[in-house]
Amino acid sequence: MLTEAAGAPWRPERLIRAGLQVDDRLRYVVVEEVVDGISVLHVWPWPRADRKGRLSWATDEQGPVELTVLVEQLRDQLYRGQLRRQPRCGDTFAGVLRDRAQDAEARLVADLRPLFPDGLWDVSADAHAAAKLAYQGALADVEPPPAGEHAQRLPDRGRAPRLVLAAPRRDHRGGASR
Amino acid sequence: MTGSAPAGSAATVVRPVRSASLAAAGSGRGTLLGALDEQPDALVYFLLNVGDGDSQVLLLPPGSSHAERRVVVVDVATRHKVPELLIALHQAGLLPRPGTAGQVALLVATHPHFDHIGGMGQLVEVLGQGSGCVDQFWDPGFYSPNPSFHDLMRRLEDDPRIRRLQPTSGTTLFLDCVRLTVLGPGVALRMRFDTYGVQVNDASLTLMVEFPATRLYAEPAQDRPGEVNRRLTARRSRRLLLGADAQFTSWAQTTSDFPDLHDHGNPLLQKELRTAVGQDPLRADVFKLSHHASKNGVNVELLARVNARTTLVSSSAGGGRYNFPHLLAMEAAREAVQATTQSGAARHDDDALGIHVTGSILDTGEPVGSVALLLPRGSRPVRLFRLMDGPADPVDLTRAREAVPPP
Repeated sequence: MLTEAAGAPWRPERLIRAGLQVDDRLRYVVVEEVVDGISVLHVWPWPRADRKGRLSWATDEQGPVELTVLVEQLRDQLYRGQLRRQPRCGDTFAGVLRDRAQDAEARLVADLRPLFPDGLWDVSADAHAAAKLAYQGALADVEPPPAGEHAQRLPDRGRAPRLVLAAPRRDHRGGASR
Repeated sequence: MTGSAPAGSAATVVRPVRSASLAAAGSGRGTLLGALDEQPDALVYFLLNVGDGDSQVLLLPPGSSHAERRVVVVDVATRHKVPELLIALHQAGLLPRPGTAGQVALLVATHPHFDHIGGMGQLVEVLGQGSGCVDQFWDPGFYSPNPSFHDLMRRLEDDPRIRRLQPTSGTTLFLDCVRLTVLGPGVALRMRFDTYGVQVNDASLTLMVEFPATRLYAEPAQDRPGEVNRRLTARRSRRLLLGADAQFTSWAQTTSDFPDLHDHGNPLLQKELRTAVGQDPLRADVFKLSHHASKNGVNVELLARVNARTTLVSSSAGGGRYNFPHLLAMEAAREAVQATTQSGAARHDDDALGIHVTGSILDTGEPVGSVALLLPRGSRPVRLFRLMDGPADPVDLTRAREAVPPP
């Protein structure tokens, strides 16, 4: 059973500023778990915003595509030289996943490049802001802006960087410290 | 009981459960429902088999405020197991129809990971948006960009009747004769959430469940016929410690917030302290290990302090994405019950040590599955049942088999 998400595709400010075409080809990639040298990426459909400005996802019984990657490899391929942080739960990216990526679910992914041939875009800041809005919206009433008051906007932190997936720096197939 | 297999081999992490350690399923309503028929005021705790994830349900005893049983739901990893359990309990005559107003006294999202809230939005929908079925919702206040979190928040926003609370350590809720105390996160940890300097696992709400919470008894007043005197009972209640996915940072603060004030070197002082403050606040009869028994969830010192006779692990029994449970955590749990480091004695089987993994299989290859613990009100022993279900199987309470107490 597929649950359709209504509304227009979510347009994170930083992606728009970066000039990226935002449509349903994009996937929403979240670092879901980091355990003992293993990281699991959840790959979801691109979210849509409903009439109230809330994000929703088309989901099915199978849930997200799950990619298992060694943390060291993730850092080497995606973070090193591009992001000033270590991989952590909640880091969020946008990218086009090649078809039939489900094949990669059953095994440790040795190289992310064939799965995301166009690279990934870091949308962590927008995704965290959206999560905060979702949380606050569920806690208390949402009001229209008072007359004369400008809505507070996200600070301009520049464009979302397009992250080029580097080749794995070393053979990571030896396994993590478990 | 058997000796150890070679340390570090996959087989040593979780061995198949011996068929002889479980009694037969019984006829008719089965052994679990039969036991509940005999003890209608017992508390029942379910730890469902959902693979590497948490779905927990507390079936509360009927109380003074509610004549019918209610439930507390702590995490909902998958879409089907918890709704199926509620339906099974209804069909067994133990719960009103799912969706009845006030039936879920408390819904807890310990932290916003997919393997803890992946089915929670769906549960809120199944129970009926706006039905008043869910009375309270607790979460730690940690934002997550994962879609399950957004889904849950959207459903909560659409159902403003559900009361919201972001508890921290020390928060206590009484549900008739059941007391829930939040052990973590502490306030200091809570205040750091928004910096994203706190790992989501360490944001976990860890809960101590105490039953019965009754502290008083009434006895006839000898000098005033027809009247009673109230006295404090010395009887110890039963405790379940639900560890969510808490890791070192969280437990470190919990041990600071809930110090062990007992002086074991001075029996007189120990007795006075026990009278004044009760037993060690972290002591529990049952410990649901944190983080599916990863190597970062618990250590021997914590396990020794909790000193649980029953240890539960919510994970697949090896394999899976993370190969949970980790040998180190399992050995720590074993060592806390049976110290062998010095003696070198052969390790007992897990069932003999009171350690149970939801993903275990029987020596015949059948899943042993979900755990149901029956906690009687009086001094009778805690009884443990296995529901013999795989992660994708429906819940069938009549198939429950009771664990035979170790010799």
